[in-house]
Amino acid sequence: MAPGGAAVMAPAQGGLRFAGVGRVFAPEVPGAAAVVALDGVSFEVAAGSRTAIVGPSGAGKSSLLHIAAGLDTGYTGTVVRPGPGTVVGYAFQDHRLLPWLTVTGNLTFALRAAGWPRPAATDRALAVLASVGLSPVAAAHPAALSGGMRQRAALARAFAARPALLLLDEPFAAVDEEQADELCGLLSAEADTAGATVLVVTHRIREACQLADRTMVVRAGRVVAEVDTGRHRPGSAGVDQAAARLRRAVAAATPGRSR
Amino acid sequence: MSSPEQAPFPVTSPQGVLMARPAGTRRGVAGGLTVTALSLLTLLGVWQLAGTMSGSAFPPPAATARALAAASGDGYLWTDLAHTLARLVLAFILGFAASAVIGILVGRSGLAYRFLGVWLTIGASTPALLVVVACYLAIGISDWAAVLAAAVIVTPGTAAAICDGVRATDPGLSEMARLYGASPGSVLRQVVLPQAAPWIFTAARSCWSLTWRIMVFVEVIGRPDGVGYRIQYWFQLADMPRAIASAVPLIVVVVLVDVAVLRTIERRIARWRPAELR
Repeated sequence: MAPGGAAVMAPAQGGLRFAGVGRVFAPEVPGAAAVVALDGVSFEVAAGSRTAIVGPSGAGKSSLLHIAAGLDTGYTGTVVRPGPGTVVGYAFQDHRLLPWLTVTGNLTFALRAAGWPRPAATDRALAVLASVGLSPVAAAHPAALSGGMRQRAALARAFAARPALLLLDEPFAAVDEEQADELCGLLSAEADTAGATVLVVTHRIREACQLADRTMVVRAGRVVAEVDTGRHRPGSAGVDQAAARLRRAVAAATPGRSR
Repeated sequence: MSSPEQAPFPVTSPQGVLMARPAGTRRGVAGGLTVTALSLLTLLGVWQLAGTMSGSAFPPPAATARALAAASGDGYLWTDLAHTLARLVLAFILGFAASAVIGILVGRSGLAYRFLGVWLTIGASTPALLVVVACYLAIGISDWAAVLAAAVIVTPGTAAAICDGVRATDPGLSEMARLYGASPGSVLRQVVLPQAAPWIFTAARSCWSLTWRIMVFVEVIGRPDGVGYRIQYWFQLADMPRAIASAVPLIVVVVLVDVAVLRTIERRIARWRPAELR
């Protein structure tokens, strides 16, 4: 099939469906082999549900997220995603904060783009920054923040406008495990309030079990396993049990590893 | 508590001081002024030396100052300056506005880049004299022809510089803004232009300095007043002190506009950038 596969807008707020989606990147060096990022990926994420994607680097996780966001249209197959006007939140791995705006300004920018009036946007931005512990640096520019703080600011921006679809690319990669647990709880509460559909790419098995109801294991551009982990409160015993089940599934889907 | 729109440095966090304002700012400014003063004194020294060695062809500072005082007394110095400044400001506004529109359009649109890019290259390579003569012939020898000629000459290079700045912006930030629902106009205003601002201001300063030099040239060819006309007048009478004195007030005004206006605006807009990149 030619690139730019059929993208049908979903009537349901925030739902996603991938059917036989492939993505091939042309080689950067002439003569080199093309890179197959996704190869016949099919899955469905019901509106309001939460799905995690785990897998090694280069497995196609971020490509999948880019297609889900509508940032990449060079795929083959069918993708059903929310229609125009749906509020989308995206926590980029490289944070993508606007360096000339203050931290508050960055959140206000996203809120205004989502249609919030200015006074409400400022109030909401300050409230969200307080919830992620960034009030002391609300007036600072991103260059003055540590890597972890920038990531928290980017995460806060992603859920500030109460999006119907929340896409998270390694949202806690730059924060320690304790902070990650705290942010997981906060993110879950915000997603519940917004009724958001969540698709999260992560390396950390525990994060997947805390944020998502279900986890897909991706390897070499294919979904090789799906595990219904159930969603567990950070720090609860259920997290360890679900993480153990997920680790077994990952090991079983990994060639050359003990089963 | 400080306003969220202002960044009071040093910024502190529970982990400690993250970034402090560079130390000794006042001392740094005083040191900078001393170096500038020494630089200007050295320039005067070089001028004096060159004047002494070249005889009457290149008058030293003292002879030029005497010519300046005489010209000021005659009155033409200030009317010439006023005429040239009026033409210069109009040509700069016209040229820079056209450059901004063309540069942003060509920088943002692949089709416009492919279609108009070659026009900019040809425009920048066309001899200025040809453009001046064409404008005087098409419009008639008038102030408007002089203004248009200068604006046309400075536009291709300035537009190309602005285009480069727009093309150098991070596409990831525009992508982010579109994803969050920002309109194309908002992406341009709030994401692209702030990133391109350093290039745009460098282009503005270069456009300003090119416009005044071109304007003096345009006045030599077809104006009965102005600094360019006066330089040529005294040159024909072989009165070099008066020729140089005619240009001095314009040079002072042009430098003041560059330092006091354009660079000040540039510094204010670039306040968010790390100190070493400003």
